[in-house]
Amino acid sequence: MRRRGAALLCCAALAAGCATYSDKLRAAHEAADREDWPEAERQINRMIGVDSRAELPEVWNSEKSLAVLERSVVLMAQDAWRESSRDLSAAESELEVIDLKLDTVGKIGAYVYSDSAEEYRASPVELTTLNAINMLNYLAMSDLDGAAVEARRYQVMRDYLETLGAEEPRARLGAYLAGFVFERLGESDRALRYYEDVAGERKLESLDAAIARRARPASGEVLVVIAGGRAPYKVPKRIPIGAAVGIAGTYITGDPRVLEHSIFKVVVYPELEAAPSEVSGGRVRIGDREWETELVSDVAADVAKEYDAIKPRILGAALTRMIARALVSEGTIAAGRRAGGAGELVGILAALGTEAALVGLDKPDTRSWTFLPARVWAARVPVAAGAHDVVVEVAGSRTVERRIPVEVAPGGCAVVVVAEPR
Amino acid sequence: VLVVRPLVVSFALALLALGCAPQVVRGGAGTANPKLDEPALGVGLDREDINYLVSENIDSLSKSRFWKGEVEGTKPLPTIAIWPIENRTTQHIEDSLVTILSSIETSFVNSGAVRVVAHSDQEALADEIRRQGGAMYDRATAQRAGRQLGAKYFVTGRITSVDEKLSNVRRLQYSLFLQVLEVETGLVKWQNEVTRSKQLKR
Repeated sequence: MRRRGAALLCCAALAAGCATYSDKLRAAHEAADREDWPEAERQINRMIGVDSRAELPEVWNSEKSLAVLERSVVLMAQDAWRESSRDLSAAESELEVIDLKLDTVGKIGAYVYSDSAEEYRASPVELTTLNAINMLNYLAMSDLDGAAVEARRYQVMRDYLETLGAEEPRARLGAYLAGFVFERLGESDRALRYYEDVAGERKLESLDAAIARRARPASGEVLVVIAGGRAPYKVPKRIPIGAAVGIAGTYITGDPRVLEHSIFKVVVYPELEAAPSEVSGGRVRIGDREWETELVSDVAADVAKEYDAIKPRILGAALTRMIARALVSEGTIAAGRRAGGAGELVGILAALGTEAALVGLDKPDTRSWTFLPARVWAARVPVAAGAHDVVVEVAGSRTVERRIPVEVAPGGCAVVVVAEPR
Repeated sequence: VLVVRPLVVSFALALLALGCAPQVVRGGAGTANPKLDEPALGVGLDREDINYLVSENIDSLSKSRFWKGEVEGTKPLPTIAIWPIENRTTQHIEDSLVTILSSIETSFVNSGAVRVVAHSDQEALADEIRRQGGAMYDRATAQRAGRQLGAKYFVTGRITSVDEKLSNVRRLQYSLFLQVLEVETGLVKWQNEVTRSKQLKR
């Protein structure tokens, strides 16, 4: 009796100890919702295992790489562009090493226990947006050369995804910014290709003038970018096995009928949940003139589309693991039956314990870049050379006004970035 | 026995600690590890790559008709200034660019054939280039700066990369392109390109 109690306690402890990635980030999300960026940063630093933004993990793993990506956006919200760009570059290198280690794109569910036991492979939306976000950091620091490096990396990533046959994400933030960077560097042809890439999917007024002048640099302008909200994130969700089999279809390995004997009648999988955003665009004021920003990229919609495409595979992997567990359990029962007498009862109890323990160890993989901005708006404002006060009004449930002084050289540009991941 | 045992234990623990602690070794010419710098640790540019890219270019320059005919033996020694090298790679190699510039500067100084405007004296030029927003060579700025610096030639160039990723391979092909331009005329007196590849493979 005492032994069985201990076993149950162990199972409970195992289950309780398995907080998912999104669970661990909850405190950081709540702090961000209060615009308490230092607290959000502190919570993420705890996940990374460091004391301050000056530090990067000593030993990297998938979760730490992702947490460093999360921190980069929280740092942007505090205008810490240099630290944010360092975080993005470092995390990108780590994710690349992981990516090279794995076999095929979209490989999911190879383990009996858990998806999250696998190394994290960043999604195409995350991979292409990473370089775009880092372009923003360099542009905010007025470092066009650095932004151009990120623009080239963005293109390498697009080419890579194309060779893998992965459906390229619609998000064209990278193309919009790469076009701007190359236009300012005098590479008009290249800039124009990016602009036409964006315009092919969505007509943007802010690009009309640039396309009309064949991407030759404007005499002087300010680019304002608002990165608001957070992309949808994954949470553990239960679904009846029958419904899950219907969705997963051919992605299940093994015979799902074995699950009829299982004590567990639901499957737990990572479901995408929208993060309610308090930001809905904004206005720009320079002197007595005012401009509306326009939506350049709906990253949240791209993440949702990407998830919908992969959901049957996620459920298929979860069901495959359940089938594997049920087979282990059935084997234990069969061994008990062969022993006969009291051994049969012991076999049944052991099977229940085994299956419960394996379920306790199984946690749905909720890893994703949760602080990835949900939407990005932009405005391109022609200005005369000289000093300007750029006032950015971030619209939403609560209007926030940011005043940023800029200096525009003759024929030059300035870039203002406002990140509000709330 | 009671006295010896703690000593033995301490000695064993010290040995264990030594065995587990990260080891630091000295490498390079004149050390026990002369080949320490040879293995590539990443796809970025390391000292070996920089030495190769610069030395091959300088070697080409020193053998060129321009160098032998218009520089070597000319009195007074012609003055050369160095325009920043443009980074057109997919890597943030600002530190490597500084090393490349220093290597080029050192090669020129040690040649004894030219006078070199110290990089530290070119702050005004660097500021102007920064304001332009990029390190791309601009003839008008070069002429103005060249006159101020008393330079007859500018050495400039760019480093480019072809960056490809496929399945479990990432390959970068770097090219260091250098050229010497006459400040007054803008004529290209010499140019050369040296390449080096790096690969990361699972």
